Amino acid sequence: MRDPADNFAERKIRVIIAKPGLDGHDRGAKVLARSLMERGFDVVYTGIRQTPEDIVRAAVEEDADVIGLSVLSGSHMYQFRKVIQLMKKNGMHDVLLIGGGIIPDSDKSKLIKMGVSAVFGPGSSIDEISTFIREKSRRLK
Amino acid sequence: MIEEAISGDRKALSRLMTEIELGNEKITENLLGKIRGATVIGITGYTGSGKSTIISKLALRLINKGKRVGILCVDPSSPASGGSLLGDRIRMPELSRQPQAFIRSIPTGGKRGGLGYFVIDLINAMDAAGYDYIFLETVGAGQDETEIRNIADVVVMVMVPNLGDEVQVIKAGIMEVADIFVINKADTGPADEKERELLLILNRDSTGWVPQVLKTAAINDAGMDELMAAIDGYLLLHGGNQRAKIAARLKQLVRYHVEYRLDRLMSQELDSKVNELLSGKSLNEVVLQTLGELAK
Repeated sequence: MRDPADNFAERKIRVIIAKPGLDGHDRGAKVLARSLMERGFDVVYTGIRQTPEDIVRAAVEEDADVIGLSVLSGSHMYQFRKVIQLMKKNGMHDVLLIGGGIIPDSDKSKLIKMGVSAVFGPGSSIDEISTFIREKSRRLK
Repeated sequence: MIEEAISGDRKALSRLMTEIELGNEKITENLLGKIRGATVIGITGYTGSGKSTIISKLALRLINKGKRVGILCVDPSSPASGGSLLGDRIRMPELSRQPQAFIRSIPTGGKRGGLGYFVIDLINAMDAAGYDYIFLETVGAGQDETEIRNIADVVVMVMVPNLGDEVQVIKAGIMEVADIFVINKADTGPADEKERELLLILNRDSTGWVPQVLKTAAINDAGMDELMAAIDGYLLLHGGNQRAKIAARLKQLVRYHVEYRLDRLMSQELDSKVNELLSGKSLNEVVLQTLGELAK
C-alpha cells in the first residue's frame, strides 16, 4: 500500500498512450501503460488505429501532461509531424511528447529536432521512461 | 477560464476540470451560479459488460437529435501506487470526431462508491459549458456501488447472461437502485433466463414506473433504440423541474466535499489517532477532536 500521506486523491501526471496509424502491435504500448500506472501515473490508453487528430483531441479533453506515441509501422515521421502540427495549433506547448517503437537511429535525431522530447526504443527500461517523464513534465511533477 | 469554457472552448473546459481535480475550490464555488440543469444518465454494471460501448451508441443518437453530450468515465485508482489505467475511451471511437461530444476519464482517487471525489464538480463544469446530457459511467460494479443513485437522474444497470444465479439477482444493493436493466451481449448466453430472474424482483415505484428489462447486443447496435426510448420514458415520468434537479445535485455536492476533507484528514492523521486511543483517551473524545480539526 502506498504511503497514506502521499498527496491524497490529488491529480497525478496524466499520460496519453496512443498508437497512430495502421499498426496493431500494441504489446509494448500496453506494457508501458500498465507499468506507468504501477508507478503512480494516471494513464489514458486510447488503443490502436488512431489518427493524429483523434490523439490530439483526446489529449485536449483529458488535459494530458504527456503524449506518448508508439509506432512500429514505419510511418513515424508522418505521424509525429502531424501530431506536432496539431499540438501547435491547439497551443499545447507545455505538453511533453515522447515516442517509442521501431524507429531507426537516423530518424530519432530528426524527430528530436522536430520537437519530440525523447524516443525510447526496444530495450529501454520502464524506470528510465518514468524518471524522464517526472523530470521533464512541465505541468505537474 | 469559466467564461471561456462556457463559450465553447474545448481546451478551457478541460483545464477547468483539471483545476477541479487539483482541489481548486474557488472554481467549484464560481460554477454554482452557472449550472443549467443538464440531465445526468448513470450507467453502471459489471466489468466488461459493455457500459462504454452502450454510452457510445446512445450518445450518437442524442447528437443526431442536435444535443451536446458530455461523458465522464470512472476507472479505479491503484491502492498500491495511486496511479490508474483509464481505458474507456478506447470503446468510443465513433465519438472521437463528433464536435458535439466531450469525453473525460476520471480516476476514483481511492474513494469508495465507484465515482471519485470530484465527480459532481466535473458534472457541474460540463453542465455550465452547455452539455445537455451527461453520461456518468461508474467503475465496473458488482453489488454495492449504489452511489450513482444519488447523482444520476436515471440509472441503467448493465448485466450479461451467464453470470450468477437468481440468488445474486435477489440480493440487496445495486440491484435495487436501477431504473432500467440491460442484459447486454444477449446473443452470447441465456438472456431469457436472466430476464425472468429480474422480473421477479422489480416493483412499481411511486410514480408507477416499473423498471424495464431490455436484452441488447450493443456492439451490433441491437436494442439501442429501445434503450434510448426507455431512458426517455423514465425521464419524462420523473423529470420534475430544473430547480429540484439542481437542488438534489447540490445536496450531494456538500456531502462529497465534507467526505473529501474528512478522508484527506484521516489519510494523514490516522496513526496519531490510534496512538491517542491506545494511550487512554476515549473513542468519543478522539472522534470529536478529529471532527474539530476539520474546521481548521
